[in-house]
Amino acid sequence: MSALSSLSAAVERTVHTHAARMATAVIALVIAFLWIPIAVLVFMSFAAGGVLSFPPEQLTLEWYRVFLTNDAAIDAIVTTITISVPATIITVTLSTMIAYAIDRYVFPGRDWLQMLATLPIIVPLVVTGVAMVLFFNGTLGLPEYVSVVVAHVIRTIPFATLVILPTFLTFDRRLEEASKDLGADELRTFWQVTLPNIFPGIVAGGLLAFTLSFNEFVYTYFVKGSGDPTLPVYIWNQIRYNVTPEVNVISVVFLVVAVTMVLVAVSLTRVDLLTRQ
Amino acid sequence: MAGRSDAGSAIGDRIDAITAYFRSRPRLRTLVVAGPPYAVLVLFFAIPLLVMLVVSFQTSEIGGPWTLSNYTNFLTSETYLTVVWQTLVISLQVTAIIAVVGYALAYSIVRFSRRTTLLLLLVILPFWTSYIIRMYAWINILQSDGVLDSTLNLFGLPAVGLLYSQPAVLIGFTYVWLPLAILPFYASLTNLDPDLIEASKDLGAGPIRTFTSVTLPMTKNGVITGLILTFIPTFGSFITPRLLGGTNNIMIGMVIENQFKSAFNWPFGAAIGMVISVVVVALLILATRFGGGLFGQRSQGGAEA
Amino acid sequence: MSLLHVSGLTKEFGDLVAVDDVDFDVEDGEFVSILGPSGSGKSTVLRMVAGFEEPTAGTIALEGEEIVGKPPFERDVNMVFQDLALFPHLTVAENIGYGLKQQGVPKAERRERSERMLEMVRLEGYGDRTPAELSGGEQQRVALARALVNEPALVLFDEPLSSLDRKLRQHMQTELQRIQTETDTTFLYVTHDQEVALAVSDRLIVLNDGGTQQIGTVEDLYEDPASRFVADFIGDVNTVTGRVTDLDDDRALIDAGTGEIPVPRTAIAADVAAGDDVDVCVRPYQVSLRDAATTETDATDAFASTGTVLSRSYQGSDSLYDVDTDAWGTVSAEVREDAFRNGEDVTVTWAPEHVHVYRRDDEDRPDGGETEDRPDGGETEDE
Repeated sequence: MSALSSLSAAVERTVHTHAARMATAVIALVIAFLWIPIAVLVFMSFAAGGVLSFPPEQLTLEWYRVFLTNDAAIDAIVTTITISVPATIITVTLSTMIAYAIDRYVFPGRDWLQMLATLPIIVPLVVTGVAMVLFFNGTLGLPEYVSVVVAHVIRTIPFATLVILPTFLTFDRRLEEASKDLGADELRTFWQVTLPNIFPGIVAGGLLAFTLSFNEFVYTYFVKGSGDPTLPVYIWNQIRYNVTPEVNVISVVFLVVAVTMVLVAVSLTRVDLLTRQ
Repeated sequence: MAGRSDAGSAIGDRIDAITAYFRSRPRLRTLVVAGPPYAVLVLFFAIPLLVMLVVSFQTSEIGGPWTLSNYTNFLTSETYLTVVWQTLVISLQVTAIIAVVGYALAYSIVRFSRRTTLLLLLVILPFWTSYIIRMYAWINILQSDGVLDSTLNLFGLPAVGLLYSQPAVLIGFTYVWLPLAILPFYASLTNLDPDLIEASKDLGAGPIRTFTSVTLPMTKNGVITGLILTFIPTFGSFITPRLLGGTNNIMIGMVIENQFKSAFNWPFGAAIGMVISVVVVALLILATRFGGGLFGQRSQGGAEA
Repeated sequence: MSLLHVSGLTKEFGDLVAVDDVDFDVEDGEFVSILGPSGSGKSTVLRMVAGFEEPTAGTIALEGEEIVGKPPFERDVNMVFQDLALFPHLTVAENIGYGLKQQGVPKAERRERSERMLEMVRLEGYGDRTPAELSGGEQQRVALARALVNEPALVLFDEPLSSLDRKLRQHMQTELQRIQTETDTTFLYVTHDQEVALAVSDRLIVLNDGGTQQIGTVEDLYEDPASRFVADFIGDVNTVTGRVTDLDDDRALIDAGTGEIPVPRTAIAADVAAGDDVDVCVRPYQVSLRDAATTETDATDAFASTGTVLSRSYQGSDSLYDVDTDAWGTVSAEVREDAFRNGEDVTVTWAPEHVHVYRRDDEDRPDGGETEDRPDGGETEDE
């Protein structure tokens, strides 16, 4: 046996013996990498020392008070919600239709529909953002509010479809046959059997769409003119031009929204649905 | 919702009639369901991209005369080509980091952990918070005398002041794309029959040989998908280099942003958008040829490879 | 007037003829099974009766009224689905009350009738559970109750017992018979499992390749199978090959390699002519074994051959022997005696009046082993 092959055998044996420990270490390190920045944000929102000084001398709720009395920040939240809510409703409706069509019907262009519904994830945001500003503002002359809502719909459709489609694909269609066999027509079958069974998936898709829309920055940044900024645009301006400690508080707001929405969504479906391609 | 009342029976009959109408017309039914989302996606997603293509051939303003100058200006400028090169290098570095870290994590979770749901949730959750906020967190950490430097000081180590450097950009990108790229890695690994790994070991291959000759080839599609999901958004990004990279790490997305937010040369911005699109399309074609399925349900990980 | 009258029923999926010109009747109060291997078209027949598939040709009349073209929710039949299709988002009571709700039956009455049905299927007090909380056998009962509570003219069964283990299946068979008698309902039951079909049915319809092979009582099918397929499919059978050397109105002379044996005309299929190659089928329980040393082997009035015992398996009161015969290869014999040992020389005989003779046609032999466990998957087509 050559020296090289006995070395490689030794390495193989070492890896075999310590595999579980190495895996645990990898998991711990990556989870720490992902969560430490978030912990830092939360911690800094209570820091008294002012912007970006670490470690803080003492802790305070002062910045939360500043945030709650800051009309510009509150307005930004309201602006965001007035965009995200209608965008989410439209997205959920359209994504449900896409999922239904792909699951139930065979028609020319079915593959194209599925591809179109996935592409916005893949095309770089800046490219789509530019294309939208050229078409919505430059060509169609859409009102700013409409442009932004439409942009949010395009941004959220792929993710909502990704969540809603599997609930359709895993839905047992024999249940619909059973319902019709027991005397319910198509409409009643849909309301009494199909909808209750796919509803959790649709709600989950909606929650994730709302979260994504609430966070949406790139499309909004391009499509939106000088009007009231959404919260992400507001915070972008803050970070770029005049950082105040309340940015940390706004970060916590984003965190709370995201965590709540995603946890509810996950409890409604199964987390592994998110891993379907 | 028991039996219809007499008052409602007219409406009920009407609904029955409509249902019956659609029952006998499957094509119309398909059109009513698939048509609206199709129309929205074509009108507000596909057509804008085509408009961008058209505008990229126009001079300085929309509707102006036709020209190739946007492209020639871009492709003959050493500055811009350097930016493209730099963007390419950074994107490849990020993709390589994600491939190693992401795959190691997904593999560890699938093969060695029982709390997969919780761990997966912990990995995915940060993805759902605001991109800008996540970058802001790293500003807090990486800036001179920030969290990282202060921590190093505590241990008597010298400050590094990573902010506005290429490592800062790489860290930022890794941070934002890791949760997304892990999903296809994870999916293809869960679809891999664990018996195959045991069979390989039973036949005398050690863990590393098993990994390179069984696990990796069989999860190839998921890996390619994850890498595409990393490379493409990185290649088009402007937020991360703007916030973490400073002036020495210009990426092509920043050039576009500049055309729309300060230089106001939209056709030139559209042309750069087209350049990015060409790179993206080329990559997608390449990826599809190597088996990374990004569309449809055909690609359930690597189990069928 | 029959309760269900099916005539000329045909279903084509593209080039595939799934059901080919099937006729049958079901009388009020009967328990009729449609029996056939995978792909025989039996599920398609059932789905056409239920209204989930429209026939390409033919008529289906229920209580004298043509129902082809009616949607499933307007037909007075209810189905027990293969995978049961219990609504997971509803309780057991709500599942059972679902059909009544569609008819506009008030809530209190629904509740009461569900309760009564639960008693009928011996699941008192299960109303508030969800289907997921029930065992496989309990779910079967709920599915049955859900169909029966609507008091349909006809209850359809699409192999609902196939997922149960043998013991539970046998128990459910007797339950089905009890419930059918108590509710005085008509059952049309589709299965590939002859054991179930033989145990519960008044009459059977045997399908193969989309066409009817035979319709009759269990005794008819067993004692007088109309085709080699039926003989093979229902119960076990030995088949030896032979040739018809002479044929008249009373008898045929058949040479199966052991000389010409006279066989009564009644045992011979109508389409057999003199000179044909034929299959001679005989049930194992009609075959006798004798000690080779004490028997004459040159009998000219019975089928007989010497052979060696290959194996013996104990079957309760009988023993089943496989014998390697000199004339026909392996023949099974089910006999009372357990005196023979492996390797012993024996004489195998059976009387000519116990055989069934069919014209040789290699195509309609069912692939016995394979059809047993396979669900009837390929028959229904996605839209």
